[in-house]
This record gives sequence, structure tokens and C-alpha cells, in this order.
Amino acid sequence: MLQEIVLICIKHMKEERTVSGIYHLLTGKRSSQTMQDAKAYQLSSFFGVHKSLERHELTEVLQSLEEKEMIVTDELYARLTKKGALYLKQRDIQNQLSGFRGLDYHQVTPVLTKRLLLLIQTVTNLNGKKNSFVPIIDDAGVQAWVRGVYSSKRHQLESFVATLYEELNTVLEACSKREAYLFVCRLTGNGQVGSTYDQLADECHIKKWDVHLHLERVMHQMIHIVKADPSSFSALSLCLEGLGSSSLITESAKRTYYYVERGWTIEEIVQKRRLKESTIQDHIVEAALVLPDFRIESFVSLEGQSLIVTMARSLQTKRLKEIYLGLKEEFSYFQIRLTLAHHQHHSREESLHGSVN
Amino acid sequence: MDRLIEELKNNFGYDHFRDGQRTIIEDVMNGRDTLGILPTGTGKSLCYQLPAHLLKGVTVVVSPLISLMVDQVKQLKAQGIKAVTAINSFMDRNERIRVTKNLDRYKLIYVSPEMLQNDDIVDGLKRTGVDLFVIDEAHCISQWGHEFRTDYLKLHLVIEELGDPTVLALSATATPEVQDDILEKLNKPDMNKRIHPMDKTNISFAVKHVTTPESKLIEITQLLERTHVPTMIYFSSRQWAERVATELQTKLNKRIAFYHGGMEQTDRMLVQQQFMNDQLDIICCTSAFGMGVDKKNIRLIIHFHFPPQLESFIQEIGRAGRDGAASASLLLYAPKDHYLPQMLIESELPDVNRLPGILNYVERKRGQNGVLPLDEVIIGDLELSESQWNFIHFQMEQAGMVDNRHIMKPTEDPDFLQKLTMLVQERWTYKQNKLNEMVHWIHETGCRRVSLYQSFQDNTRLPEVPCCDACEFDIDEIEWQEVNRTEIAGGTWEERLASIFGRGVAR
Repeated sequence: MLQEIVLICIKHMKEERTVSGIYHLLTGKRSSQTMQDAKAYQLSSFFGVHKSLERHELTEVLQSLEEKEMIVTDELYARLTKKGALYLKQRDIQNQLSGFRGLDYHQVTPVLTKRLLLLIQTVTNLNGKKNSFVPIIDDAGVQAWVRGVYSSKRHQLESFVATLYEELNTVLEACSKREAYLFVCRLTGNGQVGSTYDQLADECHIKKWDVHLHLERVMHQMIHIVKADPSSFSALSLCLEGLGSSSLITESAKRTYYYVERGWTIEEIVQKRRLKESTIQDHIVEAALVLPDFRIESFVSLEGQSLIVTMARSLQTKRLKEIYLGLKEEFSYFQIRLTLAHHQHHSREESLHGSVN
Repeated sequence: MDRLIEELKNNFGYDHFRDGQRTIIEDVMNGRDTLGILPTGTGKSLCYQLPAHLLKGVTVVVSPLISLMVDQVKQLKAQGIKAVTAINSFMDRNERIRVTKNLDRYKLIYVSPEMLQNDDIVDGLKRTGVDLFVIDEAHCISQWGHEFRTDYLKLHLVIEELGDPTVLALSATATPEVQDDILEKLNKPDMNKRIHPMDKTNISFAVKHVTTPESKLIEITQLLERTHVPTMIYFSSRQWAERVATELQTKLNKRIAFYHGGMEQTDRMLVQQQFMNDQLDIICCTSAFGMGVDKKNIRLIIHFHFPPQLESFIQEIGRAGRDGAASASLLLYAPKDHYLPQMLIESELPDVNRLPGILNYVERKRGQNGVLPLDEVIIGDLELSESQWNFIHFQMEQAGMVDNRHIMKPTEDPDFLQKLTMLVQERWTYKQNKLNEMVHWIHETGCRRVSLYQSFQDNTRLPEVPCCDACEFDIDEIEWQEVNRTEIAGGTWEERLASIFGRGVAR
């Protein structure tokens, strides 16, 4: 599965981003550049889908793709071959990769997963009168949350356990058999301890990274199903409480944005916040990325914006350097990044398949 | 029934004390500073957990192992003892602030040594009133200990600051020289010593010399084909632990997993609990495994690689047979095995030839702004390992050259350089000697039991099991069968989910 996702990334990024860009995307690096890439290259669904992926694992996947002649790589860049492109066109491959909602949910899944694992361990053990067990999740916040839920449900534990069971059944029905199986094998409770990623990879004869991806997709689907009809999923909605898709903007960027909105110049914000100019610029780009209504005229005139956008279109690229040189160095890199970020909101709907050669 | 037994029964559910526990508990209850050396698995922690419960004020436990701390807090809470917490650097900041503000709510507070450098925490403890100050893994205070920790050397200052509460220093392994060092570094020469024998009378010892790592694998396979008992195999590298686990899986019809510090937190927890829950037969692990794991029926400890000193070896084999039943230790040795621990020693201590350059670097920082960069930066700039830099930094602090990050006086002092060089060499020789002791034990032709324990205690007790391969033990003859299996529901996801939720399958 990772192999196919990497292929898609290579296809969409069209050699404009190095393989590091793919790595940052999949691990969900929270930088304005990576988030901008996710949107610009229509790869939002894969943003942060495998946060613990290691560099060498990606390298391994790239090597194997190269051996299969689906891509050619040099040290930094990778390009799809005809064989790779044909492979991706197969219908079942497209289906295999649907269902991810990375950019929306990547921040929610780690906590939700921990909550579910610990909640299930706790309620099934206590309901089965096993009062002494070592929590499978260390996280103090998650433990406090489970304690809270338990104390509010202790008098109707039996029915809460039944509800949770039914809801999980319903969600897992909507997943593939394999993914449902992987999910339940992770669970600990009622005297059984769940399996590790390595054990699941062994058992199902798939790569460990694919176990991560499958489980991540189960979570994305779960969140999606529950959010679409919260009244039918009271127990799982409870698990999502307080985890709403938090705004993508970082706390620090928020503060910068606060000053920008009040008319401060970049220099003034640099002074005030004692941060580097480049950091403040990153914050502004980040704000432009996630806030469609953020006006950027004070940094780039409307005319400048239209020049930059036109140049990017005519060069068919998002690579800053080419645009920068194409415009005879008239605009700074910051102005170009900011403009592209802002105009993402307005040109995003160039459809996923349409825009790709 | 006397009061201590009554409290033991009510709070911990035991009917009687184990060897050595009672005297130590009585000592600390009477306010006597005590050094307690108790072997692993004999209930060291009860020696302060019970007093903590009985004393009016707070009991502070300094522990270097965060995972151990967390495990103990969990265990205590599971037993219904709630007024307990652990303060460490992994704690969420808000959580830490909340706990620090409410220290008086707790009877027992575990704290990592570096947290005691935090004034807020020390002030909080002072206000609350500490009755008992416990130093767990006290051998870490000694430079001669196998896990020397510089933060431990400042503990005597904290004890003073807290108004000299009763001190209990605990360790599972401490040679007489380490014991003396503990008393000296704590500035408590009159400390009362309670040393209990660490020899395990229910463990048989064997060492096998082989020619290659592959032959180790063959030995292990043959042994585990005929013996079916809970087994741990120790490795000094993560890669080897994984590799052998995978190979054994193809060769043996057993439930095997690996465990090392590089795994994700939840996966580590799962493997530990699977082993505890008899869902696994064999664990291939590094020394990261086992802290706080109290599985009673481990029968066999195999060392695929040997640890760099006897102390660690004693600690690791001590995990076998905690229920008192017959158990065995097998160490496999191949000719080049000492290279790895040798390299480890080298990575822990700085190269003496580089010392002038390092001092020059610090001197230049003094000229620039008088402040040391962050440790990560220094380590990168000077291409040192973390422990190499810690060593140098500590020595500079001792010499009054630096105070935390501030550089107080010139560092390019020839006397200091000479002293530092000497210290490095001394330390290197010490570690080398430790390693040699271990290797020497491996090549021992006399009784292994006697030679293993002789530097730790005066007499070695007679074993209840065959002694060792120099005496009458032959590991090739054991054919133990003792399988405890917790079966896991197989089949479809629907069946498995139903079984976890304790109900029949809906469809």
C-alpha cells in the first residue's frame, strides 16, 4: 500500500519536489511548505498517514519501485516511468487508495487510537470482573480521560460495553475484512493482550508500514462515519469529544496572524516577538494556506499576485526558483510563496485527475 | 499479630515479610539511615512502600529509570494505593505543574534525579515535609558502579536542603567498594548497612563456547526444541534481537517476540504484557526489557551476548525463577564477542588525545559569551557521544570551571588537563577491568557459582539445584516442560471482537 501511495506522490509532484517532500508529507511534518505541497499537489488525503515512518523505510520502498522499473531516481528526485504510470491507472489501485483523509484527521487519530485501546481494555476487564490490570497506554491525559468516562458510565457499564461493541461492529463492517481484522487484533481486553505491528505484519504477510497505513485508514473511516451521523454512534462520539479537527494553524502562527490583522508590519512583529524574519514569513504563509479569507494585499499587490499566478501557470510548475527567475527576480520568494498559498483556495478545484498529465 | 504484619496484610495482601525486608523497614521507621542491598525480585520496593504508608510526612523515591517508576506507580494504583505519583521529564508540563502544586496530597512521590535540580519541586517538597528520602538503584551514585549517573552526586545537597530526612539507599548489586562509595558520596559515613546475599540458590549455570554466531543459534534451537519453558534471550544489539527472533520463529513452533528500546511505546507495552500473560514463550530482548517486569515463572535466561560487567549479568539472571522453582542460565560465547563491549567502553569515555582540543573549544566559548551552547550542539561540534561529553562537563563542574552552562574561569589549565587525562585513564582501566572480570568468569574452570558471587559476599550458599557446568550441571540434559498458554481467539474479526467484549458472536 505504501508503495502505491509513494507512486501517486511521485506522479503528482512531477519532479518538482525531492523525495524528502514525500517523506515530510507522509509523516505529516507541520511546516507551511509541506501543508502547501499537500494541497497544491492534491495529496491532502495522504498528509501524515504514517507519522512514524522512517527515512530508510521510504528509501527501501523507492529502491523496490526502481527495481520494478516503475520509477527512475537520482539522489534527490524520482520520476514515474511508463510502466509505473500504467500500473497506477489500474482501477483497483485507485480503489485501494481511497478512504484516507489525512489532512483532516491526522492530528485526531493518535489520541483517538490511544483512547479506544485503553477504554476497551478498561471496560471489558471491569465488566468481566477483572479489577487488576496494567494499562496498555501510558499517556497521563488519555488515562485521565478514560477514568472520567468510566466514572460517568460505571452504573450502566454493561449497556455501555454493549453499545461500544455494536458501534465498532458497524464501523468495521464498512471496512475491508483485512482492515477490520488488523484493528481487532490490536485490541487488548478481557484477559487477552493485543498484537504489535511486527506481529501483525508477520501474521498477515504484509509490510509493517502497511499495517500502520491500514490501521490509519480504519481510524479515518471511523471518524468519517461517526461524524456523519453522531446520534447513531453515542459511544464513539464520546471518544471523539474534544478532538474536533483542530485548526491546522499552529499556536505560534496564530499569534503572528493576530498582529498582521491589526496592521503591524513584518519588522514590527519581528521586534515584538523576537523571532527571525523568516519564521514570521512562514507564519504568514501558513495563515494564508488555511484561512481563505486572509487578505495578502499588504504583502503583494493584486497586480503582483496576478503576475505570479500567471507565471506559475505558464511554467506549469510550483517550483519557486523557476517562478522567481521567470519574473526576473522582481518578487521575493516570500511573496511568491504567499501568493501561491493564497491562490490555492481559488484554484484548488482543478480536479485531481484532470490536472495530471 | 504485630502492627507491621497487620499493615502488610491490609495494604499489600501478604502474610509475612520476605528475607531482609523487616529489618530494613524497622530501621527506617526508627529513623536510622540505612543502606540496603537486596537481590532483584526479593521485594526491595516494599522496604519503602510500607514505611511511606505509615510515616506522617512524604516519602520521596529517587529513581533513574522512568519506565520502572511509571510501572511501580501503576502497580500501586492497581493495588488500591492511590496517594502516589511520579515526577519526571516525560510528564506533560501542565500535569507536572499541577502535581507540584499539590504535593501534600501524596504519601509516596517518585522523582527522577534531574527533576531534583528543579527549585520549584525541591521547594514544594520542603514545604510539604519529607520524612523518608529513598535512593533507588543507589549504585548509580558511585563512579565505580556500572551505571554511574552524575545527577546522583548532587543528592546529598538535596537531602540537606530537605532538612535531613531519614535516608534509605537501595541497590540490588553493589560490590564492597561501591558500598563504601555510596556512603562517602551521600556524606553519611555512619550509615547502617543491611547487606543480603544475592546468590540465587535455584539457578544452575552453564557457559558454552562456540565458534560463530550461527552456532549460537543452533545451540539455542536445539535447547528450545526439547525444553518448553518461559525463556528470555539477551542481546547487546537491537538488530541481533530482531534477527534471532525471526530465525527462531521459522525453526521452532513457539510464540516468540523481540523487544528493544527502539520500538513504539504501545508495542513495547504489548510485548511485556503478552509475556506476562503467557501469550509468548520466548522474548529476544536487549537490557531495556525487564525493568519492573515481575514474571514469576521465567525458567531460562540465555545470553546470546554477555553484558559488560558481572553486576549486570547477576541482575539479568536474577529475573529467572522468582517463584523459587528450578531455573537455569546459559551464556553463549564466541571468540570475537568482547569486541562489542570494548567498543561501548570507548564510546563512553573521551579519547585522551582529544582532551586539549575540547578544552580549547570551551575556552573559545568563554571568550565569546561565557556560556556553553546546548549539549546537542556541543556533541555535534566536537563529535562526542553524550556520555563522553557528560563526563567532561561533570569534571569541569567539579573543578569549578563551569556552573551548569556558565563558564566561570579559564579551562585551558595544564593541571586540569593532567587531572582529566588521569581520570579518563583511571575510569577506562576500571571499565576494562570490569569487562575482563566478566570475560574471566566466562573462562572460569572452577565452580561458576562461587566465582560469580565471591566479590559481592563472603559465602555462597549451597544451591538447591544442580550447581553449574563445572560441578554437576549439564544443560544438555534438561528437558523441562512447563507450558502455560493463554489462547487467543482466532478466526474472523467478528469472533475476535466478540471474544474481547466477552460475548457470543452476533451473527
